[in-house]
Amino acid sequence: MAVNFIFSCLNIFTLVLLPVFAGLIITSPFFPNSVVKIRRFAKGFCLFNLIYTMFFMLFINSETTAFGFTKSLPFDIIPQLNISMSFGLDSLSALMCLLTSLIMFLALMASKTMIKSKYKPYYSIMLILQGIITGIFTANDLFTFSAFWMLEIPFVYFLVSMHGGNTAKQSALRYVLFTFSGSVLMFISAALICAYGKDAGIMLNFEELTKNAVNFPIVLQLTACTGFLAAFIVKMPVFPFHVWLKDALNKAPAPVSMVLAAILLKTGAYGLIRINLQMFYEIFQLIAPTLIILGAIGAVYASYCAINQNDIKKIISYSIIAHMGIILIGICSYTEFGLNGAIFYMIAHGLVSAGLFAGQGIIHQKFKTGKLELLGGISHYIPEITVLMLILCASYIAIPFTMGFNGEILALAGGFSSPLIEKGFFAANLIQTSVIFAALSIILSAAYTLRLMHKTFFSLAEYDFGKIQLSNHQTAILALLAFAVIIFGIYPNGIMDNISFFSSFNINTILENIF
Amino acid sequence: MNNEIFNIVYFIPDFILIFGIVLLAFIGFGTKHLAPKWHLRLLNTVLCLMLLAFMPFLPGFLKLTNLDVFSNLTPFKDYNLTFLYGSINITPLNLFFKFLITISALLTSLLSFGFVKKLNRKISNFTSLFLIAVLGGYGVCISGDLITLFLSIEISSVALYFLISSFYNKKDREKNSLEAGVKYFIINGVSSGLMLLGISYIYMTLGTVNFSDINTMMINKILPASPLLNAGNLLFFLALTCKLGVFPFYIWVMDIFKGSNYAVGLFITSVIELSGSVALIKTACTLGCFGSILNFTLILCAIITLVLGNLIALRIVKKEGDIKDFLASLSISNLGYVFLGTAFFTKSSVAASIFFLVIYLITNFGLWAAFMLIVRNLRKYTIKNEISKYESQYGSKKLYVDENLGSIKGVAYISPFFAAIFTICILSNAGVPVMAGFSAKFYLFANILKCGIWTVNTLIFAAFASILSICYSYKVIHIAFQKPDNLKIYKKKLIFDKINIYVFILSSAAFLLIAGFFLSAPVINIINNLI
Repeated sequence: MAVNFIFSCLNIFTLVLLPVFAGLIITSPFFPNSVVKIRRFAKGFCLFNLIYTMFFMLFINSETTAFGFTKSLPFDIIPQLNISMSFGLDSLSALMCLLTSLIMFLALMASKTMIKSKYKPYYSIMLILQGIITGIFTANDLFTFSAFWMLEIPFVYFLVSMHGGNTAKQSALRYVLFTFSGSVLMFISAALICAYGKDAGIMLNFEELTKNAVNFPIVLQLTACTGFLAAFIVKMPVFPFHVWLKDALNKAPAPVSMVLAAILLKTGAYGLIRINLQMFYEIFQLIAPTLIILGAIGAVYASYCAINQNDIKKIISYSIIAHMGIILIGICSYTEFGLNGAIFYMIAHGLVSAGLFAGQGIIHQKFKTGKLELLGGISHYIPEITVLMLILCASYIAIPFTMGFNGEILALAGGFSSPLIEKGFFAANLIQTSVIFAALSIILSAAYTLRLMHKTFFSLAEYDFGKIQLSNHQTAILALLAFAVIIFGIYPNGIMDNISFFSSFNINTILENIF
Repeated sequence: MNNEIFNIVYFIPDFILIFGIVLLAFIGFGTKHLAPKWHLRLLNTVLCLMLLAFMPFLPGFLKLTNLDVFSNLTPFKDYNLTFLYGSINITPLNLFFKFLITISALLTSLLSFGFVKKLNRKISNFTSLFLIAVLGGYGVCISGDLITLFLSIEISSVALYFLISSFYNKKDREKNSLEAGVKYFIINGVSSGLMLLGISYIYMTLGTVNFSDINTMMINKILPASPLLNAGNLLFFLALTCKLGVFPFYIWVMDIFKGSNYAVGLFITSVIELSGSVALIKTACTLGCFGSILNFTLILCAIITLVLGNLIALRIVKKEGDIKDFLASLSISNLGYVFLGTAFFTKSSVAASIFFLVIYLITNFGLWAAFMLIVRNLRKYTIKNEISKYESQYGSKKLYVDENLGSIKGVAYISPFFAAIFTICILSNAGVPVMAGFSAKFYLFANILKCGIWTVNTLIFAAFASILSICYSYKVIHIAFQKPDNLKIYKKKLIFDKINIYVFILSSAAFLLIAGFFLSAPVINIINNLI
């Protein structure tokens, strides 16, 4: 009875629009200007959304690839092209939605101490951004997906540039230009598929497209696949297109960096799985070996850059590029456990990078600097944070019994045993070499992470920082993330069970069709 | 309704218009001491009456939305009436365009109130010339052959020469309006000559200039394959680009805007360029042929317009240039999209470009209202307050501050509401979703892509143009959200306290742009049913 009642309460429009409405309520002039009220209102809504998403997660059926909870607008937006807005959840998108709500809640918790001005626009934009990212993950047709994809750009722009000076605005503009260039190509591809699908009588939702996209004319598939790929590799970011990431992450305040690194980059990987791998796999297999090589180069290059940095934030932002390279290898490997590992590592990396940015924010707030040569001996001042950061860093180095280990090992093993090697496409004979090369980045990541830990937490401090107290909020964020990292490191099936059917079904259909 | 006398119903707006021209001109001769605001009120009344005269056709248009709510209305008669040996043609599509032109003229006259109150000449000259130019636009809409089209364009152009060159505010800076008028005269004269030459070539090969006759020849495929016909078509369309303000003859737009009054600039972007695009759309449906050499030439022109217009806009925003220049470059770049859709000559792409045109008009009025409000603020308050400061700084009397984009700095701190709706308009212009600009662009691109997959090549350039547009839009938002140096420049009173026409039009434009994203289907239905 209760179960039925809860099930009837779950509406996907509410999931997407509730944070947006909450954000709009905060912006309205009738809302009180007090900081505490704004913050508690935002956090309350976010917590509600987290619980609401958990219920979705409970009711989702992971033994099928069909979308559940599907809903679409009662009217067509452009009826001449069969375009409407429709949403739906399957096991992959439900998982990503849960990650979104969790990280957004933690980021709002972290903002209490780290955001000191412009509360009203900040909290409302954060909530609206949550709605938009949930919209990206729950979109069930190409128009909705690309609309939400482009809608997110201005809000991230405001978040990054709001609390900084002119340099922050420049790097935010760089973000906009990079992502928008990709998005526009994706926009053309979506329009192309809409124009073709209308003539061929194909509905534009993802399930229909997944079945029918293989039968499209090959030129159309090639164009559409390239357009979508352009958007995703800029967002992920893949090696030559990573320039915007470092600036945006460095100039943004810590909670915004948490959201950027943990969720926003995952939308790129999600799109790569959802569209390029699921729909256009026949064309994508031609590009996949090149992407594996790019991922390997990016992993090693970014790790090498991270070793030479002298700022905590810069080290973390370079390392993110490296780890996204490993996720890319897992996705492009065309193997079941490669895809499994990539999705698992997306979650793991979301939790860990959010934790690291939160820790960086705490250090920056307490010690007023992020430079490695000025810091040191933090374990002496605040021992709690040291233990928690140690766990998160262990996951970053992929030490066994942490989340990072499972994901990374699966993704790399998938890349090593990729069936594409036999196909002999361009650069396919280099796949194994490049995966071995990418494994080198694990060693390098150990190097920079341990250097980071040593220089900040353990070596002797140059200055006496006095007495430093950590607030409960800050400890709670790090503790929650560290706990999750260890729990799912020991028991990865908690997440793996949800996605194993998704990846095995998809990879099996792909392999049946192309081999 | 079989009696022909009832056909007069279709011309009631035109009769009101001609009556209004005579009335306003004679009031100018007869009365010396009538205040300018009464002239403008009369102008608005005439335009409102014209709008009311469209009421009999409203049920038919509502029926065309295909909405269930209006299913009980009387069906739209699919009429196609010709008068004066085919030189005037009345179809539902033409009436739709006339309706658009009337609404644009009404909004223009409402917005221009503050800018023409203190003109150097009689206000009655302005109002009657305004209506004569609108009459030219009407002529373009109802023209049934190329000669009527040409004459109507000339009527509005001649009125526009005087509108540009003779009117400036006594106190303000529009001192080089004569130069602008002469420039417009020369460039427009050249293009008119080219257009006439093109029409004569077309007449030489086909023996007719009537749209329906040419269309029948096209459908029956009895068009002679003569190079002269191609040359005539090419000359005609290139001359039309001057009336539109797109690539080969786009350069006048910047100069003329800079020289002329704000009211005249708004009039050019709304009524004149609207009638230019109506001429383009009408002729593209009859003269154009998909896959011809003309097709490719025009597509090339459209692409160059898009990239150039956005580059110019980016450059102006980067150095915080003049507001009028910025608005001119916006009109160039947006009409580039309309031109691109029309240049493919297929029914669906022309329909998509009409939809884009409607959305562009809404955005355009919103942005002009915003910038006009800011300029009014600058003129009204800074001149009084800061004259002494400028005297001490520069040693000379400078009666105005520069009306550049830098003057919108800090608007967000004075009126967040104004900044928010301004941001909506400018983001819709760049094609960001949840604004109608996105769905208009999506519809346009999808309909162009229906012509074949090779069109992706052209759309890549359009995509590049929209990347540029997003770049300058964000820069403008930057400026608006910066902290102002001097809060005194703006009086909060004018921006938000009083409900004025600028804020009203800007906010309704923003509302329409957001509602248009979700509810664009009725408008697209109307256009698809009409074309």
